Amino acid sequence: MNTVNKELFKTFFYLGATTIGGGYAMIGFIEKIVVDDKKWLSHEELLDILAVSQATPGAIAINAATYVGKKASGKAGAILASLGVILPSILIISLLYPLLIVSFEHEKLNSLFKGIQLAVVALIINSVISIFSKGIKGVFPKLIFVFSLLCLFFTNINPIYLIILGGISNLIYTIIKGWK
Amino acid sequence: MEFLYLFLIFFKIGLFSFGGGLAMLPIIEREVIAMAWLSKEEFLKIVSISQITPGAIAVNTATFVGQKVGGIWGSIVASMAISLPSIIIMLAISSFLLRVQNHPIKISIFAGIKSITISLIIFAAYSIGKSTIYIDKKLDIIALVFTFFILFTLQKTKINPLIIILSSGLIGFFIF
Repeated sequence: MNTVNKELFKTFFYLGATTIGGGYAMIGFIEKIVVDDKKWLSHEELLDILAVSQATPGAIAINAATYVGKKASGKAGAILASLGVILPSILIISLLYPLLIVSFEHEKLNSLFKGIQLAVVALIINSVISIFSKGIKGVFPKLIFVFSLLCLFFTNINPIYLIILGGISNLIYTIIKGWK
Repeated sequence: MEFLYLFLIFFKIGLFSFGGGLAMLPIIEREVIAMAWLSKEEFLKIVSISQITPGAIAVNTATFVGQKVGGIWGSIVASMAISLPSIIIMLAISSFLLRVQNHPIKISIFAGIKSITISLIIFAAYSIGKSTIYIDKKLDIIALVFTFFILFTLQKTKINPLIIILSSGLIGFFIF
């Protein structure tokens, strides 16, 4: 295995083993490791991956691993990074299975779970604060953002339609603006 | 036979569920209960554990169900099956994306999509927050203050998020 592949596997194994609370909560963490430390991605690309993840099936962490692996080291890198992020789940759950199943009968664990969920909410808000100004530039994208937020809060629209609408409307806006 | 079903069902879930782990859970629930692998009660328990063990939530849930149905091999089959579609699709898309990376049309489309992306992330925070802070039409002030306290800590310090999550769980254990 070459050095980059080894590094990819190790990094994503580490991310898989230390990520609690799902992909959104970990955006800041992924950003720090993959963008700032390892320099495998730009900030721009991380947002691209987030966007693609929402428009394609599957977990965000795996989507990110596959993209980063592919970019850094081709197909082999993509597969190793993806395996790296999945493996900790299999190891931890298989090994701790008997313990996890029994211990969860305990009522008190719901309080622990609540504490973690609140931290997840705070982490997601924190991620939003850091990516907002990098992600939404210009007046029209801001309008799309407000429109989308209103749709999510007040309708049951499938996010996929919002994603398609957001992409196409901004393209049309850019073309019209270019004509002037 | 059980392994084949595990593979097929979780591959299908991985292929057809959009929007990341949390959005996949209702689909996993429907399939797993239809296969009579778990009761609703058991499933909800597994979902809770999946959110406090490391890793992607959807993969964790698949691993759990696989483990319950077919032991260690079951867990490997289920977690690989749910991940495989994303890996294949993402491999195809990433080649394309890397090629058009700086194309003006791609940049313009993605600038629009990113506005949606960020609104979806905000809505996800709202949904999780609502289910933990606003229970039975009553606002849990302590939970709300606690959330702001964690946010403040995140903004002002550089503590590792894993430590933030673990210590929040520990504090939650004592105050809720």
